[in-house]
Amino acid sequence: MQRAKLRKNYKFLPDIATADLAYEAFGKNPSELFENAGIALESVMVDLTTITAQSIKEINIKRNSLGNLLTSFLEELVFLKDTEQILFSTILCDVNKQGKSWTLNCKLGGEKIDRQKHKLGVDVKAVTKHLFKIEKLPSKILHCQVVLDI
Amino acid sequence: MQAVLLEKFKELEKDIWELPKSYDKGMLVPLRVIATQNLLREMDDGAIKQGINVAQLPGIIGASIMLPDAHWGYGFSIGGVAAFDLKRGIISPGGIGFDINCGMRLLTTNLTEKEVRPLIERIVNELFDAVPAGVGSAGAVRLSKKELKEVMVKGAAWAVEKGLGWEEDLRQIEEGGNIKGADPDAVSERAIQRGINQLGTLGSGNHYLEVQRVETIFDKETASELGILENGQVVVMIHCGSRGFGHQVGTDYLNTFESAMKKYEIKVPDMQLACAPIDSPEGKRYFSAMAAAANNAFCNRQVISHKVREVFSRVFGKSSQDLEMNLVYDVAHNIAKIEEHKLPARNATHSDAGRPITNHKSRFRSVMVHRKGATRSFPGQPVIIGGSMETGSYLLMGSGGAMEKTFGSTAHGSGRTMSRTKAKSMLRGEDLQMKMKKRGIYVKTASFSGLAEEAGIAYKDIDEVVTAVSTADISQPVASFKPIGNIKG
Repeated sequence: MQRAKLRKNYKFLPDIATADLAYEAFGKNPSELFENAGIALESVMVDLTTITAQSIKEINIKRNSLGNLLTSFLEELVFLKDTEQILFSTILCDVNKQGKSWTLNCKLGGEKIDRQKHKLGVDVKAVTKHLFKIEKLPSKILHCQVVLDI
Repeated sequence: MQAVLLEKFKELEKDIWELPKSYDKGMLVPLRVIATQNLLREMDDGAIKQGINVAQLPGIIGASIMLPDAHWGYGFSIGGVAAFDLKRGIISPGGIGFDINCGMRLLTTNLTEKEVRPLIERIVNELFDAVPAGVGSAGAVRLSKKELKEVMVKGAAWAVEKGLGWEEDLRQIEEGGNIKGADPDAVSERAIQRGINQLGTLGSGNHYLEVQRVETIFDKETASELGILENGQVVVMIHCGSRGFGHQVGTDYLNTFESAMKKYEIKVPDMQLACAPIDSPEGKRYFSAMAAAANNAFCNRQVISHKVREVFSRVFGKSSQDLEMNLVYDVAHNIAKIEEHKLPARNATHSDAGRPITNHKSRFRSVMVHRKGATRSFPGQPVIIGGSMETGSYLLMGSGGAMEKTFGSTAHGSGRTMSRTKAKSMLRGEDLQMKMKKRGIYVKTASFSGLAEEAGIAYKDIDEVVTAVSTADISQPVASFKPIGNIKG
């Protein structure tokens, strides 16, 4: 996995959802948007520089809209954190439209949580739908806004 | 809050404010806020907007209620209460929270601060090892799928049956630690997978396990009945919920309800308020799954209590019975329940629906009360309001006033005023830990950035929150506590 997605194409929003955590992410295309939104979520839970891509996972999801696909993808990252105790620092997404559906093929690189080695952040409980949006900006850049339950 | 919005509120009685339903054409009932004038003025616009949104939900009764600790969450504000008609009303995961039955638990000891303080580092370190905390933590109690399904149905009693608690604990838990109607078949395989290794874990965010000393006793007689006997007595407070299990139940049904809303032609102002009629198959199924998650949370806090008792027993060389580590109470603050409340008679004028429920036309009805970041406050029932780790917490008693004004509900905490992102940008967790140690509070954390997010400056003044609930007579203070040791997830 070549693309270590540590560059910041996401931003946390301090003035939204006081108790939880809001962020926005950007991408030139849906695949890049998903990668940045996923990395933003992971960065809430761990200092990404302390995670290496030792364990590789692949996920495939199909949904009826790009928005639903994005929330399902982020929910899957939260699910893997609890069920397999894996956090990811590398995310490669391939998002495509197939007829009326949107599909995601994603490769994730990360590590099983090690409290001695990893600098942990806070646990993400869930991906909410509060103020969720996905849109194309006038600059043609794709933008999403996500509020996480902490 | 913006001045233009603030001036629309009318004070019905001291510290009870109302925004009339005429404020927004979609509102079916008024918005009622319990707060001091200062807390009302400081409340986020986002939270007030959420209270207004809740006032628009089908079948809402009386008023959309916000408590003095209310702040901007998702769907409902945190610190929000709403009751719904069982026939015409809805049930919404956004009115409960993903962390179903997040709640508070308080244990006594017969130890004094003088006895505990010299050993506080050992106690906290051992608690930190015994009760896993933080991102993705897994518990010491390993369950089979069959056992997890038993937990869903039996709640705290499952742990007591396994020797992880005392029979008398069950009498000191809301609903006896078991919400009726739980159905494991309404719970997804994904929720089971997330929950199966997390029993006995604290979680993260604002969850904590805290060793505290009694600071002030306000009501000696009631405090004594609850086992709070003198200033300096050491108690243990636990704040956590249903962990990944409950979070997944919330996630699953939020998605289910999105499509159910089309079927039932329900429109909501925020997708996080996705809901279904209480009486619908989807609504009933969610209630059964929610009850299963609530029981999981009661059991989780029971297992943690057992671990706490083991640690104290080991450190002090006495049994937990000899240390009188009795359960004062365990109360939920993220839940929906069917309860009987006094409401205006059906033939009362529509405007009666927004008034304090004290008129002669009142009668009792069963309603679905949603409490999100809100504590049940029935007369004679202990209430635990957890503060920030720097400022302390309160034990209160429920009151008759709550039954008349807030569907038997009161505040749950001090309430955030500052976002996590902002708090983290203002101070470092490592510095905060040192500062707290100097002030006599030994903190062990799974995350320094998480610690910074929970700093006292990020919260409202808990004393003012308690003043508001006391003045409005929705609960009355019994005792206050200050931390001496704390575990943060």
